[in-house]
Amino acid sequence: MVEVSTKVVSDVGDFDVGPEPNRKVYGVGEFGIDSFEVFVRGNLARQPADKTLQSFVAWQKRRR
Amino acid sequence: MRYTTSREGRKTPSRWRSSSRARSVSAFVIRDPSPESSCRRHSPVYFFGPHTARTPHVGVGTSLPSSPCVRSLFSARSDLILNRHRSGRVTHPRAMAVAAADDGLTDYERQRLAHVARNREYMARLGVLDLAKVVSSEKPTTAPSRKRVKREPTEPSRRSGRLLNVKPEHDGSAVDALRDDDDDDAGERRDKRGTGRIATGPAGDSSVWDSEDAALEASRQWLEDARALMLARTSAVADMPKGSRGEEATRARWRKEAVGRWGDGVPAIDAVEDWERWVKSRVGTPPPPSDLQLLQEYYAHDAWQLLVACVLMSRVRSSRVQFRRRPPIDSRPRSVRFSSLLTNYFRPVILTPRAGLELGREAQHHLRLLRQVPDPDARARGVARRRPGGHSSVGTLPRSVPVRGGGVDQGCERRGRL
Repeated sequence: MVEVSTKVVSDVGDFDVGPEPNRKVYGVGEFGIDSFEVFVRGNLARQPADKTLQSFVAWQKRRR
Repeated sequence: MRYTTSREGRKTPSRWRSSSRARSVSAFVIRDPSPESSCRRHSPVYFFGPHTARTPHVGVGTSLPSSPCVRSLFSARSDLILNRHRSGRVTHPRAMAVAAADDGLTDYERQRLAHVARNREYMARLGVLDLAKVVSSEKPTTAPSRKRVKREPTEPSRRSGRLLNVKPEHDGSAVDALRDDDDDDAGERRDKRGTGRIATGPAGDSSVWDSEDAALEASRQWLEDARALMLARTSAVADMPKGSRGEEATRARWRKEAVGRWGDGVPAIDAVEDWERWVKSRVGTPPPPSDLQLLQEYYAHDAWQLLVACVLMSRVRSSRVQFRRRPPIDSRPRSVRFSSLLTNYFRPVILTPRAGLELGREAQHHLRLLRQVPDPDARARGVARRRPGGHSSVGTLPRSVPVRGGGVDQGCERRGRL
């Protein structure tokens, strides 16, 4: 949480999270990255690994 | 092989003497004196004993191996017996009959025939053969075997209730009625399914809808309202037409928005080139709300809150993290549940990351305590008892647990189950 808060507050650039080293935030794993892409960015084309996120994405695609 | 000497001075194997047969015929044992019987181990022994039910009065040792030397001796057995009979050493007439029958049969067959003839003679002397004739002349007493009548099937032996549209005897309601204490959320879902009513309202809303669509619509409306409130300040600034204010004033208003959202720890106004992009990159553009009621949907309007929620979700069991109505923390039992840390984390008092940093240090202390306890519930309570035989590093934690706000929660509840 400290890392996430530090990244959000002190970073002067656009905020982004990803597995790449330049976007990596310590403590945020695959689940957090998938959740960020799906819920914050609204990227429904992403295929998350978590079953619950998969259900959410499938539900959103059906309701489109 | 060990041999014993009989009354006649003949040696017989010890194993023969141990049996009743050997004892009964020991006085009549005759060992083949022919020179071919140099193999003493395989030398046959002809015995002629008293005629009893269990003891043959003529025969050969029953365990004779079928070695070539024995066969040769067997072939000479008839002449041997005959010669002995002629010399007066063997006087039994049945032995004479066996010896005289030279019809091409093997020795074993002749021996068997002699055995059968002896038994028949014995039975005839007892009158068994006459009795057998009388019994065989009578009608058989056994009942004739009944013929099994094959029945023609009148109806199918297996019927499908589904094809007959029969209501199932068990519809699962009995199973649904059994609540599992270990999975409260699953029990709640079963209750919803059993009553046909859906209670998937937003957090803190205990409304119950009769249909999934109504619940979905209410949930969607609530989330949209919540997001609209969250984005109201940003929208007010974003919708502001360009050029109505100066460039510096616009930057100042965006930074003010950032301070309002994430605290005064945000960078200085000159450190960020485009404050609008800076703020919008941290504000979510979430998809429409679903009826799945995921925790992320409640924090999707803010990237920081969503990521913190995801970090905390990986620390605890999801069923304990679900957003639900809870009483104020002051009126709750003294046991400190870890889920309350998340539920109260985003309250307006601690809404910004800067305040979160302060809480983060406290949370780190919590996590250090929780990592020592194997069970999430026990982690949530901050209390655990050492398991018998458990790891030595898992010890009993102090009953005083620091709580948010700097206080100390004394005397946390203990549960018997880890």
